[in-house]
Amino acid sequence: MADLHIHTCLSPCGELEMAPRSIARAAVAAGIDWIAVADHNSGEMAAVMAVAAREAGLAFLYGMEVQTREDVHVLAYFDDEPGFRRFAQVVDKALPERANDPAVFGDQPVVDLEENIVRCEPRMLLNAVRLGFDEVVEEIERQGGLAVPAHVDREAFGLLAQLGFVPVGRTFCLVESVRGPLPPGFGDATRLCSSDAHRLEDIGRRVTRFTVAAPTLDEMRRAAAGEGGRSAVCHVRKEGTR
Amino acid sequence: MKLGELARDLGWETVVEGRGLDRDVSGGFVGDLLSHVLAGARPGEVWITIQHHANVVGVAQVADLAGVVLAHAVDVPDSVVAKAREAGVTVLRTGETSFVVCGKLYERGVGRRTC
Repeated sequence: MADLHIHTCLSPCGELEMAPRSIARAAVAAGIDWIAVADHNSGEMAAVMAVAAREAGLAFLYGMEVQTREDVHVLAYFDDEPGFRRFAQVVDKALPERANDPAVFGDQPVVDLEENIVRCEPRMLLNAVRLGFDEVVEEIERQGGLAVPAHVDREAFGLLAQLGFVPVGRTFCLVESVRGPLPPGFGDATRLCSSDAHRLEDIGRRVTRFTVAAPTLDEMRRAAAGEGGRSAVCHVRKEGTR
Repeated sequence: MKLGELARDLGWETVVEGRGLDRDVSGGFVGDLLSHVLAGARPGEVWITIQHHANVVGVAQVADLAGVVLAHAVDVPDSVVAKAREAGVTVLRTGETSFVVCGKLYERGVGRRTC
């Protein structure tokens, strides 16, 4: 059972309670055994989350929720840290310098395993990076990752709202939606359900049950294609529009 | 008024000539959310946007717009130029803001109701 879209305390609007070990504990309590955190435009919490996940016996993917120049949110997933790091550096360089306003979005703390604040990200993370949707998807793939359009059935920051339709010639094996089945235009893509949790109690409210040989990107792709008895099936435990 | 005349009067750069310059402009639409433009723009209108993903061309085509004006001096990617050439969609460009472009169009009577 996987929840592959969880925000940490680093994300704007992410509650301070979203610390690595707390997230891992909440995931275990929700019956989840595979997680990914996907902070907005930052991979700074990934390494510590990998440790917390391992400690709790959870499978882990490196993730990020990138906001493209067109204000489309795209999830980037990686098996390996080097590929993820390279991708995260590209995003970091493309993030505008505009300062975060803590009064509006809260502080953006990077914390360690013991919840000590290491630093606060001064730039506004909920902002569009200077890379177009196609550039972001291509960079994810170049670094060996998997691109998944986020919450495509949502008005705010969804692919269809921002870009009208799926760019011609672009296909995805997994696409995240929040409310229901995938809208038309995504071809044979399989729906991915995740909580998009910004607070502990939301972890696991939407999950995907993967029947796979191992918790890897390759197996996710095969599950999306229904290869050899593999599958990816959505379970919505608690309705929500976010 | 024809799109070509407006382009000349207002000093817009022609990125892709397309088939729209001779069309009468029936009105204007401004927006950067392509789903919103698809839902709201009407045939023959000129569309002002800062969005410059190649899907802009598809939207202009589907909505049968007279042409697209890319405002704010955005960089036009090759993918937009290639798609617009293929589809015959007129793409213009200006350094002015969407707000100013709309104001100038309105001054010239575009989208203004006459009674």
